[in-house]
Amino acid sequence: MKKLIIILISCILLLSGCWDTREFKEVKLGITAAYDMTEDGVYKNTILIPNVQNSAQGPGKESTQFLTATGNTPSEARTNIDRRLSSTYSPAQLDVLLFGSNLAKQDIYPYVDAYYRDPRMHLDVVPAVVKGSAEQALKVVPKSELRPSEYIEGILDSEVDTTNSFESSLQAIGSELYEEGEDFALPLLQVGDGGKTVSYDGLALFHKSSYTGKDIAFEHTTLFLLMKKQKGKVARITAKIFDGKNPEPVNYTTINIEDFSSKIKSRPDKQNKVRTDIKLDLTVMIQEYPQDHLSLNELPKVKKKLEQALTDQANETISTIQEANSDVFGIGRSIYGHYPSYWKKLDWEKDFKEIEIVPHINVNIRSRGIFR
Amino acid sequence: MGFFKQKKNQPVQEKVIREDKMPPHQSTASLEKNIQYMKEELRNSTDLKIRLLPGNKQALVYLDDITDPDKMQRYIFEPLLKTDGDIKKIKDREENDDLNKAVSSLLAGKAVYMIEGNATFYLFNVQQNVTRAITEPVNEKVIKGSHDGFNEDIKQNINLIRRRIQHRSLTIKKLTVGDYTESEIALVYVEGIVNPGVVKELEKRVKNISNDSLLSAGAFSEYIEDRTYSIFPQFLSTERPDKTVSQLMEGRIAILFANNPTCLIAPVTFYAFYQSPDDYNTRWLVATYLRFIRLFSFILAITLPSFYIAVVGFHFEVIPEALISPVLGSIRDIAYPPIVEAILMVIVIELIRESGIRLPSPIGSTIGIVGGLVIGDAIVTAGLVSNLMVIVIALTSLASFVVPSNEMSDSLRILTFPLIILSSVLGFIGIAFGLLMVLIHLCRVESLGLSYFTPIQFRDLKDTIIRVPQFLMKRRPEQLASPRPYKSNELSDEND
Repeated sequence: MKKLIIILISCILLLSGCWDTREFKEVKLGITAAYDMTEDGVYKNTILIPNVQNSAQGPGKESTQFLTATGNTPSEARTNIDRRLSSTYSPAQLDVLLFGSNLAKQDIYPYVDAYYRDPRMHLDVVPAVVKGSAEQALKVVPKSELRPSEYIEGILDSEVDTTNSFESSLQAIGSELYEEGEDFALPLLQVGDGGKTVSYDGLALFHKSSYTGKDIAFEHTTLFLLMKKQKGKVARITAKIFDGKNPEPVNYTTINIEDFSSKIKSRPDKQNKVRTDIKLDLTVMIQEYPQDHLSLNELPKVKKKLEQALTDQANETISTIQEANSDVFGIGRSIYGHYPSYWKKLDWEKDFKEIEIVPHINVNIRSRGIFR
Repeated sequence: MGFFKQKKNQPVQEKVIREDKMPPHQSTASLEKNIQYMKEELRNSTDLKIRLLPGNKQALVYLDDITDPDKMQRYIFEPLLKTDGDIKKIKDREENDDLNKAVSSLLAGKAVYMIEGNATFYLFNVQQNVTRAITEPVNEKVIKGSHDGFNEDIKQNINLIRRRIQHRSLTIKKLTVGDYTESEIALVYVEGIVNPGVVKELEKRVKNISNDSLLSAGAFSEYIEDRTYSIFPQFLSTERPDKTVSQLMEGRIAILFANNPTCLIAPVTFYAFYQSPDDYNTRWLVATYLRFIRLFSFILAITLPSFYIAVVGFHFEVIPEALISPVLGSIRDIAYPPIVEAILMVIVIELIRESGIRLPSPIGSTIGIVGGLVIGDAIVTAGLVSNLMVIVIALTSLASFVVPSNEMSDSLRILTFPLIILSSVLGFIGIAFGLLMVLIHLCRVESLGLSYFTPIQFRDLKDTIIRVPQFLMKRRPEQLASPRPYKSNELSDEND
C-alpha cells in the first residue's frame, strides 16, 4: 500500500510536469511582427519566421517564411496565423514590432497590451513605426544579408550607435503610454529603393498611445537626442554655417560631439504658463571643414556660426514637437514633480503647445582636426 | 517502511574467535602431540612444514609460503651452529608455552622451534616481506612536488609519514578489524593539534566494527561513516604521503591500512576534495585561479545538462537572439525529446570511460578515439543526438573529471541524473528544487561529527575557494576545534 502511494505521488509530480513541457523545436518563433490596418478597418498581422536547415557542420542557411492573417482583434489575427503553421506560433522571441502608420495614428495600445500581460513575452521587443504599410517593410529581405530575419533589427541597432535613434523597447515606453506629462518617440522606418531596402527615417512622435503624424527628421535626430541626454557611441552633426559660398558643400561642416551635458529646467512662467530652458553644452571636434584650413583666429567665428546653426535646428525641432503636442522631454512630469499645485491648474493637453521652450546651445571646439 | 523487512527464519551460525583472543592451550612435553595439535588447528594445510632436526628430538615448524628461507638460515641455523645446538643461547627469540599462540605466530610468518620433552617452545620471526616499490600514485599525479606514494606495506607507509613529521607527538595507534582477516589499521595523528574528542569518537567507531573481513578502505569507511546513504564521500582518500601530512598538520586523522595503499583522512569538509597538493606548490594566484576553475566545474558538472534541457524544453525565451538560429538548426530534426538525448549521450560517455579503465593503456587510447570521434560524429549525423547536446554532455563529463578526488568525481556524475530528470519535468524550478535539496543535504552531512559544508566564513575561505599566501593562513580550520588553533608560536592575528 505504501509503495503504491509513493508511486502515485511521484507520478503526479512527474506527469504534471511533463504536461507543461514546451519543446523549443516544436515551436515556430516569430522574429519580427508587423501590424497594419486594412481599408476595411480589419487588423492585419504579418510575421516573419526564420527557418534553419540542419547540417552537421553548424547551422545551415536561413530561409524566411512570411505569414499574413487578418482578424477583428489582434488576438484573432494571431490565432489565424497559428492555423496555418505546422507547429505552434510563439512570439516569445520577438525582436521588432512594426506598426503601419495608419494603424499607429489610431492607437497602438491594443496590440502591445498582450505583450505586457503575458509573462512569457519578452518586453525587450523594439517597437517601430513604418511610413505606409508595415507588411511591406517586413517583407523586404535583402539577399546580401546572412540572417534576413535580423535585417530590420540591425538597422535599428546601428542607428542607436550613431545617436540617430535611442534604445527603446516596450518596457521603456510602458509608463509613458498612458501617463500624462510625458510622451515618447519611436523609430520611423520607410521602404525605399522600390521596395528593395528599408531605411531609417527619423523619430515618430507619439502623443499618449497614438502617432501624431509628425516626425523629427533624420537630420535633426542627433541634436534632439543630445538634448534628451542620450548619446550613442558616436554623435555627428552636419550643419550649414555659411551662406552663398560656391560650391555648395563649402557652406557645411561636420562636427563630432566628444562630450556633452544637457540640462532641462522648467518653471512656471506668467506669460507662457511654463518656461523651459534646455541648456546644452557640447565639446566638439571639427571633423570636416571643406573650406580647407581652419585657422585659429577663425575659430571664434566658426563657433558662433555653429551655435547659431544648431540653435536654429533645435528651434525647428522644438516647434515640431509642440505642433505634434508630444511632450517627449517630459516637461509636464517635471512640472508635476516640482510644482504639483501649479500643475493642477494647467490643462496640459492644450497648454503644452503654448509653453516656451528655449534652447541655449554652447559649443566648445576642442580640436580642429585630427592633428590639432 | 516495508522495504527492508527482515526475514524471520535467520540461519544460525557459530561464533568465530579472533586469533588474538584464542583461549590458551597449554603445550605438552610430547613433541608429537604438539605437532599433531598444530596440524589439526591449521586444518592439515599442506604449506605447513615440519622440519625434524637430526636426532628427531627437535623440530622447526613454519608455514612455507610466508616465510623467508634466507632469514631462517640467518636467524636460526647459523646461530645454532655457533652455539652448538643450544637454542637457549640464541638471541632474538620469544619463548612461550601456549600452543594457540604458536598457531597465531605461524600465521604471522614466524617459525616455531620445539624440543622433545620441553613444554616451552621458541618463536623466530622469519616473515617474508613482499613489498612493491614506492611509486607515484597513478590517479593523483602532480606536476611539481614529491612523487612518492603509499604502497601495500603499512610499515613503509608509516615510515613515509614519520620521515615527514619528526616530532614525538606524532601518534600511531594500531588496531585490528575483521574476525578472520585481522586486518591491521593504523590511526595516525598529531597529538596536541588534533581534537582529542574526534580521536575518541573514531576509535569508538572502529572498535564497534564487527565483521569477518575488512577488505578495502572504501568498505571501512562505510562502516564508520556518519551517513552511509549520502552520495558525497565523507572521508578523503589519498595515496600521497605529502597530502596526508598536510592534513595531519591541519589537525585531522589519517587512517592507514595494511595491504592497501589508500589512506583515509577524516574529518574533512566538502572543499577538501577540491584541494590538490599542486595548489601549495604554485604561486598563490595561480592556485586560486585553479580553485575557481574546480569549483566552477562542480557547478558545471551538476547543472549544465539540466540547464540545457530546461532551456530547450521549457524556457526557450532565455535563449539570446543571436543563438536562436544555431540552436534551432541543431535540434530541429532530432527525433527524441532532450532528456532521451541526454541520457543516451551520458550512457555513451560512461561506456567509453568504463571500457577504457580496464583496458591496457595502448588499447585504452584507441577506445577513446573510436568512442569520442567516431561515435560522437556519427551520432550527430544520424540525427539521434543534436551536436549541442554532445557539447553539453562532453563538457559535463570533462568538468566532473577536473575534481582532484576520484570518488567525488563519481558522485558528481551520479548527481547529474536526478537533476536531468527534475529539469526535464519541471524546468528551471526543478533545477532549483534539486539544487536546494543538494544544498540542504550538504549542510546536514557530517564527517566524524564535524559538519561537512562548514567553512562559509571569511577566515576559513582563505584555503577553500581561494588560496591566500601561506603567511596569511595563520589559523587552523575553525571547525576542527584544534587545541592549537594557530599554526605558529607567535599568536599574531593582525591580518584577520
